Amino acid sequence: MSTDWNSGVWPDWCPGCGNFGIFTALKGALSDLGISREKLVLVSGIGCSGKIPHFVKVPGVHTLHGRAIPFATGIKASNPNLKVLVHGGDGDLLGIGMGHLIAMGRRNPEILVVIHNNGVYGLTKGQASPTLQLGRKTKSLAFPNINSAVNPILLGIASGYTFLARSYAYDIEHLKACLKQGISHGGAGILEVIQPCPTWNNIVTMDWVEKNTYYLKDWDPVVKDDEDAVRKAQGIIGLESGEKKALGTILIDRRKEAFGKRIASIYKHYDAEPPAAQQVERNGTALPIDLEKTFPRFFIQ
Amino acid sequence: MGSCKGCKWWRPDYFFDNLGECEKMTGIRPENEAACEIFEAKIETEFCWCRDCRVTFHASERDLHKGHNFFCGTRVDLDAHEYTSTGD
Amino acid sequence: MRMNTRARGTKTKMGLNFIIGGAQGGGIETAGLLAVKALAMHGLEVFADREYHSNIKGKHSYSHIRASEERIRSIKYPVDLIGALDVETIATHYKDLKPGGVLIHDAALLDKPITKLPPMEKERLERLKAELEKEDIGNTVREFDKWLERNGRIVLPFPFSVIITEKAKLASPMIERAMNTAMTTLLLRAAGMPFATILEAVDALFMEKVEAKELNKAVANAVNDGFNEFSGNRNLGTEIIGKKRSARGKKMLVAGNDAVAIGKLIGGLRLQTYYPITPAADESFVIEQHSSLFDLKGEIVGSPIVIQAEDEISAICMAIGGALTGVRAATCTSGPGFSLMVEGIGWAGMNEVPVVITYYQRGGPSTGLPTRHSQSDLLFAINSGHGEFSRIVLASGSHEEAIDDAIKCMNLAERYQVPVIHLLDKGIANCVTTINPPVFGKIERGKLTEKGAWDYRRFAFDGDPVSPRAFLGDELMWYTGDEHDELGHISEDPENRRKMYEKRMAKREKILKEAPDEDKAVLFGDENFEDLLVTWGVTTGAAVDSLPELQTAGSKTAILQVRMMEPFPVDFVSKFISKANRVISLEANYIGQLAELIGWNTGFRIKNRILKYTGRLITQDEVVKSYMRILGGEEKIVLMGGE
Repeated sequence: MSTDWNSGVWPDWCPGCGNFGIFTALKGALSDLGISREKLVLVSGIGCSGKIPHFVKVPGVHTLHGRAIPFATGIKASNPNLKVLVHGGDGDLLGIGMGHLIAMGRRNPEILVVIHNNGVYGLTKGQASPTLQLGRKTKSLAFPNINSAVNPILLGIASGYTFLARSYAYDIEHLKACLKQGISHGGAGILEVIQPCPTWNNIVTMDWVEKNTYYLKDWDPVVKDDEDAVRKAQGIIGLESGEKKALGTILIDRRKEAFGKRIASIYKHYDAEPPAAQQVERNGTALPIDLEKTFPRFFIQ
Repeated sequence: MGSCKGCKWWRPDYFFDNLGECEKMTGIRPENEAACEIFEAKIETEFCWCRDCRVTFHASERDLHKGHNFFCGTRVDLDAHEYTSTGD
Repeated sequence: MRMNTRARGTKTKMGLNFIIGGAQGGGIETAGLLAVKALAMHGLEVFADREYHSNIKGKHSYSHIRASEERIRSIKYPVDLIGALDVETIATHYKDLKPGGVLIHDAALLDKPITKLPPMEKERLERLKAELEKEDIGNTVREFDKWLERNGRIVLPFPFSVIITEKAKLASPMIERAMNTAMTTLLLRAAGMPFATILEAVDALFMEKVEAKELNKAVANAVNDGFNEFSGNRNLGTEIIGKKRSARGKKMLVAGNDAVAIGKLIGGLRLQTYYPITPAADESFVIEQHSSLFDLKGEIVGSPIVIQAEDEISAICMAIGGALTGVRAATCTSGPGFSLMVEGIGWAGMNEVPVVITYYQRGGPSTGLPTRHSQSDLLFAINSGHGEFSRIVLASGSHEEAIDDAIKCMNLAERYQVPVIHLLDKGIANCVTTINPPVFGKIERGKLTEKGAWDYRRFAFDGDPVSPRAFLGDELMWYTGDEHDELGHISEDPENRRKMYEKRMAKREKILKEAPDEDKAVLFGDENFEDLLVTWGVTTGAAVDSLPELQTAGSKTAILQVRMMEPFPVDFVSKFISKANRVISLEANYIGQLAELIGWNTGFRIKNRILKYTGRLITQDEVVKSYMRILGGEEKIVLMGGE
């Protein structure tokens, strides 16, 4: 693997943190994809997972709690030539930022959202996150969790995501393959990564993952037509209703237009000159806009 | 003959890394404790912990840790979470 | 019905001041716009306030329109004319009519009860009933009209319904449109406007909507014929508005929302994000509708995009994201939305991102008065966000300024790499006025780095608080809301903290040092003033319009409009404050936020405050009257005018 992907900043995650696995797989995926460093942007939320952009040697935007998706959407819409990834925790993307996650599915921008799912809020001492199951009591909880867990894959289906996958932080090859697939997918993707938190989550341990997950076999994630889409959705509900979590690529739907195409359908210049490629001045003065031609209805005849 | 520090079963404490624990035996063991009969010198797991860099790294990045002290893992106290403060 | 000749005696200059009211959603908006267009096409300067409820259909709404030969920046009571499309308008506004003024309504309303008004707010209705009882007026519109006439007003019940059904012979049944056009036509004819100009205004208003245009013309014709029959034996105070004046160059007619949109587009806006909110959303509509910017050869030279976000948090974050790619990005909102944006603005402050937030104040707190005016968010705009960071808050006081400032804000944002809040109010947002087309100015993109510079440090310490900026896609760079080092990586080191903190904060001094005086504050009136009225935002207009009267009434009086609210131009403002014998603040909030801000910064406590927080504009007549009361010894005055 190219060593070039380390920024040189010390990754301050706890020993044994699943983030090290995601970090490793991500660097591997970026190497394999051969995208120029400057054309990538890692956008992240808050918490342990939010720090990941600082450790990778590509442009990074470490944003606000729950808000990585809107930042990423603004970046991608303004400069569609950039490859944009979102990294956030389960609390970040499925709790405080859930509304943005849903809105992103509706828009279908070419952005992959990597959900670092460890079931807890690590950096604030292990409170229950939206993916912690009802009745579970992790280390720092005074009482068992009284909220039901949300399922990001089912949420992804309901919101219109066109790429859905689940992987495990410590299966580097599998995770790398999912990342590559998700980054290359031409639409909105969710990659849920099950990630042990050795400090706080004494339930989702490596052992637990081994016993409670399985790799998808004979599952074709690619949606062929409308009828197939319904079948797939029903199939996915079936998958997700099982006791064990399926790992693998769950859905690829290439039929829906990506956000960039939708913008271009309104703004005809978008493909040729997206906002980041447009000039806004000539020799230090405003462009010679013909006001009467551009704004006819505001002129008194 | 080596010491615990060079054994695949020994896990240094994350904070006090001159001390550690053996995966196979109970009790605290210092890094320089003489090797015992189960000593195995080959430190090779998918993820190792580098004491010099204080970081978990993947086997594919081994070259970055040439000459460093690394181990098959590290350990913290079971109740370590009780010592932490909120950080974000 | 009897005539009162006093209507003609009071006017000194050509002009017109009237209200046209009706139920919201019933075409009243178009009626106001048609009148405003016609007056502007007649060569007059126009200023029109639109007042409406937070409601789609059914509640009372009106336009208060003022036209004059000279530039006009405010509304004023009482009015010359009222066009009432329903009973509620009569019941709401009859007191606004000057002696000799004319009330026009459909004759079909005559037998309707005046107090049977389900949409009217119960407090308002109670007040109305009490007035009717006190004056023993009776309960029908007919009786009410008689009472008005006894009190020196002229009432013209015009057979609109009859004319529309019998004379106009409409091909399609567009009753609401027809009624509004009919009323506007009659109002303007009664004020002396040539009929040809009204027809031209119909053409201009409906442009390519052929069916609506023809219908409106048919209605206007029918009403005009009816009016000519009527006016054969009546003097309705015609020629209030005078002869058509030849245009002195091109004029534009814009609301504040339009003005800012135009300014932003001239200023190079390429990404606008927003979440629907009153009174800001129209700005984004205008940008969407004019997203192809043409040059003189008809070629497209720019094409900004507009994204409707899922909430205001997303709107600000998307705009910041766009700005990081080098795009001139902005969002627009009002109080509730701004509250949600605050965390994002802090991030922009921490990361030195040039982003513009157009902030139209409305009545708060909470949902408050969604459609009504307020200037109560000044201190919020200045102080919003936790922690300390440099920002610019620039408050426009007129539509012309709104355009220029929209351009300026984008320059300032990039020049200083700070979030810029362009502070406006509902008054400017919704009032429609004639303006001169803007003059294109400079576009300053600020310090940029050479592309491909290796070892780029986004937040380099190089003596200047503004570091060269690079865009995502060009260089390696990091951003974080955490305190960071020159590269943009998290750092809690105390020395770095101090340096980075001071780098961010030092921009305040730099901004103040480099800002031209006219961006800080503007003085109107006598430079050797004794009394100084300090004001800001749309209220400036009412103050400036009343200046000649103030100068007659008081000693030497001047008005200081403060524009740059943050960083606050202490020295510049102090210069004026310290010269005054008496300082009076004039603003639409409860505590006198500008007065407080001046107090914090200069140590000078402004005792005299004229305030208004009913959600209605401060009017020219209110400024004059309250100034007299201040001269009479009152310290604080709370204004109540307008419905």
